Amino acid sequence: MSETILEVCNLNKQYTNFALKNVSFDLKEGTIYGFIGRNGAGKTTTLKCIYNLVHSDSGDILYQGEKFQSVEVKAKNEIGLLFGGVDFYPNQKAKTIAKVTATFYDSWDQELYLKLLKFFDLDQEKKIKQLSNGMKVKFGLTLALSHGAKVLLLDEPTSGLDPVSRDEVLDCFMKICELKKTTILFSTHVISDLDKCADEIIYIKQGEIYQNSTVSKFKSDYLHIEGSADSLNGINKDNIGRLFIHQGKFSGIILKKQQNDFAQFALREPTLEELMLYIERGHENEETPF
Amino acid sequence: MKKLLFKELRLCLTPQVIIFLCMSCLIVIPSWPSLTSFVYTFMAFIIVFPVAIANHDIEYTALLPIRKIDIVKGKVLLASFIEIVSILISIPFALAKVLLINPLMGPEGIYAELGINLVLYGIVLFLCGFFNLLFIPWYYKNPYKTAKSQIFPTLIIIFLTMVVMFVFMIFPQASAFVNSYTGIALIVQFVSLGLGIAFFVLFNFLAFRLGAKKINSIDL
Repeated sequence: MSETILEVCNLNKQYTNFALKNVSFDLKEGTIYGFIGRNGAGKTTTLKCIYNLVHSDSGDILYQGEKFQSVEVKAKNEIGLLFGGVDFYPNQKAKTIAKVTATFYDSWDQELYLKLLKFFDLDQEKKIKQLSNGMKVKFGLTLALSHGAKVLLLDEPTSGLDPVSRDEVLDCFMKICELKKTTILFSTHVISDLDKCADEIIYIKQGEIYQNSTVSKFKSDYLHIEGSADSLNGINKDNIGRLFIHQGKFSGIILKKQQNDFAQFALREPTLEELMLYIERGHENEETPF
Repeated sequence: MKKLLFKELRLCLTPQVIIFLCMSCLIVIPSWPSLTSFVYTFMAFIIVFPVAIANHDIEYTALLPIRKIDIVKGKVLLASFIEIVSILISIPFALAKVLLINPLMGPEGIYAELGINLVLYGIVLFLCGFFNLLFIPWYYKNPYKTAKSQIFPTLIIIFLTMVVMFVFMIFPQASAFVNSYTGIALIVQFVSLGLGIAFFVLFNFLAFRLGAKKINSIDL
């Protein structure tokens, strides 16, 4: 049984037009968590609250059982946090930023840093402004990984990366999770990334935790359905969520307990993206403005 | 503390700051009010802090394994560093003025105000510390809006500089007393320098504490 390394307990934060409401979840060591939700659902705010960048109105963050603020420096030494890519000090060389960053970490591994530069094909002699968006993300990951973090909190680490680079990054996540028992919580809008590597899903919706479970459990209540549009005649369409009809075919999501009613159709396990769309838009009366 | 200063110097100290640091060598100009040359040092902050914001310095620093309040400590160290270097740069020029230029100029060449002595440096240290005390907490009220936090403390320091200069002009006896390097005047000079150092340290400490309080209440 993996040990809990970080606990988020009843986190509340009120803004004018948005609030985090009793956000709670645990992170266990050696597990990859996908942190998903729509834009503005509260993912970044939650990550900032964890790292004490945003002051929560109430609630606690416990790192290895101790209040985060009482072990702030130790916890931050063992946590790597990254918001997208590195976009600070555009006129400085990547090497300079790495050199300064390294001085702050007790466990900075220069050898690993150089290996990661090579792995991600990065030139540390380049200035930050000369790096592409993808390279900025990779450089940020290099910094976050080079100090042997026990926990990685990553806000959209794969956005801006091409499919090959994304695959490399995800492979890297799985490797460090397996070999070093690193815990990774990463938010992303590229949900297919989570299908590949996430063990658990933390789903946040309008500032509240909607679901917190393993990927398989998260999917277990639903099925993806598809078939010809004509075959829908006589079927109660209200039971099909996220019904999408296009070019004579339909697809949608149904509850698994209703699968006997739809036995004549092709059924399969839904992807996380299909499920997210179902959860967010499943029962909307979709009216477009055009 | 060493790491924070290293980070500030390596990433936040823009090369243009050298111009403002060198302004303190204007102290060498004959018949020129010595205290004025240090006011230019505060102009360095008009460049350093907005450039740091543009470079997302606060976002980077916040990700480092330090307490949130240490972000403020870094900037107090940077401000103090700039001020101390400016003072150090002025010393050889001040000595040149006292030992070489003033004797050449004769008595009429010596301005009837606060001359070059330890009282001057005590007052400069007091003003530097006081500037930091005004500027740092004001800046961290909202680090993304720097105008007010820079304009008002700088204007206050300019005003105080003028007051000090006028006081020594209005009371030439005081000026003559502190400008002499003998007997009790020398003791007064050392005491003034000591007080200047003490206030510089105290004001910087308070600037850090008040700035820390402000940064804890804002969301980054």
